[in-house]
Amino acid sequence: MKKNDRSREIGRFQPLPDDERLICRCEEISKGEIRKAVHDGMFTLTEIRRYLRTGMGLCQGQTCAKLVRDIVAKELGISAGELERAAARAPMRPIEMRAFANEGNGGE
Amino acid sequence: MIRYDLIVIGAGPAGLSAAIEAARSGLQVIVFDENAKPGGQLFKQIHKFFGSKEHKAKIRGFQIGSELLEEAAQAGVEVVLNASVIGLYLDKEITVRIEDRLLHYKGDTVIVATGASETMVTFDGWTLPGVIGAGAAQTMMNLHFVQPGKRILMLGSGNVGLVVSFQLLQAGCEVAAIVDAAPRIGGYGVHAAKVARCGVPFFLSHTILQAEGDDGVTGVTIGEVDGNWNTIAGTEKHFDVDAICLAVGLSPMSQLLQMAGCEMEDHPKFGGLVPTCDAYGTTSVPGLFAAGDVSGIEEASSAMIQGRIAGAAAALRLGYFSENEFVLRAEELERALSSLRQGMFAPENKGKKLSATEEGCPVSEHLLRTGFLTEDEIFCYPGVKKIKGIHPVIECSQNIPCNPCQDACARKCIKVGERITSLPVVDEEVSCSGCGMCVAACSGQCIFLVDEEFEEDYATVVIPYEFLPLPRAGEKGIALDRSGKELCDAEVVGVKSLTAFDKTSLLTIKVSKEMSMRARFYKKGVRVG
Amino acid sequence: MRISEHPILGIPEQKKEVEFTYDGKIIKGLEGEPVAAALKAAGIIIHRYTSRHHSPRGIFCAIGRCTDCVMVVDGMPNVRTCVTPLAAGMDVRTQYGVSVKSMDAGAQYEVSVKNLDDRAQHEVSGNMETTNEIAEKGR
Repeated sequence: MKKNDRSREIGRFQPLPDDERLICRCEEISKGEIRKAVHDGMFTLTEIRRYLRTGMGLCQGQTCAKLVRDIVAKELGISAGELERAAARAPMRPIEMRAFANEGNGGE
Repeated sequence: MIRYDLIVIGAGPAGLSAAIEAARSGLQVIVFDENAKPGGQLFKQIHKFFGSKEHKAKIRGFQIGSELLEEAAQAGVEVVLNASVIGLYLDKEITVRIEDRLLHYKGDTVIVATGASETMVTFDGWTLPGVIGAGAAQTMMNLHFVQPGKRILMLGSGNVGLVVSFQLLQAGCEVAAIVDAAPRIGGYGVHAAKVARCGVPFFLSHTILQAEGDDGVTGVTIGEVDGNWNTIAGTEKHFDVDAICLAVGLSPMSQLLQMAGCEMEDHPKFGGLVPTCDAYGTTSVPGLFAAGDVSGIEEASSAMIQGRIAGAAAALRLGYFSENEFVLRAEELERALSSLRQGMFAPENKGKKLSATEEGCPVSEHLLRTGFLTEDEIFCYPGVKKIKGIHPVIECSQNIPCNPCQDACARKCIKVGERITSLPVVDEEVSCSGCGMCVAACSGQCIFLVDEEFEEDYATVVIPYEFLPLPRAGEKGIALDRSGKELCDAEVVGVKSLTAFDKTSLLTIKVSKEMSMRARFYKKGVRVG
Repeated sequence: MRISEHPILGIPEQKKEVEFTYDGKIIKGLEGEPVAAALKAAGIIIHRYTSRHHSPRGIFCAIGRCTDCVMVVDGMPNVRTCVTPLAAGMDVRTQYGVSVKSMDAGAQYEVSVKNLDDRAQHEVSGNMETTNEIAEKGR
């Protein structure tokens, strides 16, 4: 299966009864919003993140990453494993800009 | 930038073990952990561990944690707390946030032992205050002595869900029910039986439909699901609870390894995304190792051995171990690890439905659906025999890697044998002294001493008891059966709390003779009706 | 709500009782325990209201990962109360979005910024935007 296949036909957005359920707790993004975003053409997790801010809040996707991935995969009709993985990059934990300003200082 | 022979990320069971092993071989080791206290989740584990002596079986998790810390200090391991590693870069360089500074360190080898994070499920109302992770419940009650709620519903019947439910009861909370969407209990049968006999009902093939409340949880509605996970209308059940605990699984916290460029694989067997590793935890990036839950979800006992192996591998890489020394050490550790990975709950059996034990005993479907064995079923297992006088009744029905009962019996009347997953066998030829060591040693609390000849019409049953207040000898109350239902009147005729029992007290209750194979728990009070 | 004696862990280690304020009210807790534990022991489970749907949130993971339990502590927003040790005299406030100010049109909430130094004030307004976000935006 080709990754990010834009020509993939996924049909029209069909509302579901649990569309209003929050998935990303930090940014308060619902299941319906994520599903709609896929139909708007956001086929990868990176695009979803930039489009909706899922996993971009204070917790850095600790809680919702897997949930979002499963929803997107289901909407695309593929398995979660086939979906391109979202990038993992620093910082892995919430960190104040102040700490970055102190980068490299000290260290015994 | 500061250089170390080995940087370990995470001071849990795997990370500390790795650091100890490497430091003992002469490496200069530093461990970073984001928490204020080391030990990872070990200090929340108040139950006795499974395994055998070499795996620290029958020792409680928090005590193993203390032992590890002591060993680490003796080995000269430097542990830096409140230190979040926020990046792992090429050439094994890391960035660590300590207080309000961001520092760079470089390791000639790096072992990532970041553990796991809790997997969550969603349902209506899942963001309400009062809906918490099972780990949160453990943290609140076992570290901070604050009850997470008065009456709690547990979602998830894996070992975490079962163990935390029991801990909630020990903390004085009520557990309204244990719910799981799967059709069978996922954790050890003995863990399920411990909570079932306290009267906690199991709802398998059920899921949470809604958490109720405006400002916090006031109740929960569950419903039955069919084979396609769709709710069956009309099966809704309501519980008044003030907390809902989620114990639906763990995922490896492997982002740092992904960031470092390790080849990754995603497999349900590991619980999620893990680095591709060899038997020593070596990843595709030279000098970078993974150990513990981050390389696949298992128990803390296996994490500690994996940590030792990775620590030895790091020592080999830097030339602190010769090839020969390493092979000997690794063989020893791998043997210990593979003995833990056997039996019905071995990684390769995940999700499989087994119908018989290694011995050919039937697997109780009743146990997997309700949390307890029926009275007829228990005689199928080699630990349950009709014997005159006092004798152990071992209601152990699954092949799990555990054998403290064998070591506990000074008279050798319990045999597990070479294979530590084998069901314990009670030897009718050897007489039992009634010392109770096996009862207290059983991490699954599934051993009882039964004496059907105590008095003409009365029998005694010795039960393990880990609750407060501790009943007193002479006290009259009620015997409960394996499902926690009131069975008959009972009198406490003995209470033993020895140091050797390690906080498990032994209650001897006197019940009418015909109840000796049914009475398995005790509560204070007077029977109604 | 507090466990005075535990069958396995025994009697908890003695900690000094201290006073702190929760939304201006004086509350007692134990020095060094997480702020979230002190609040839970006092029966308080709402830590914040979210900015978009204005829904209540409380403890979820209790180990500093989920960031649901954040509150405004001593003028600093987004403080993870489950991993922040309690100290005498702490000023703990319900967080609304990223500030102590309620977004409820009708509600009156006192915004306590009078004792804050310049740096803390700056953090109240600037909050903790992470570089992940900046990196994402920048690409």
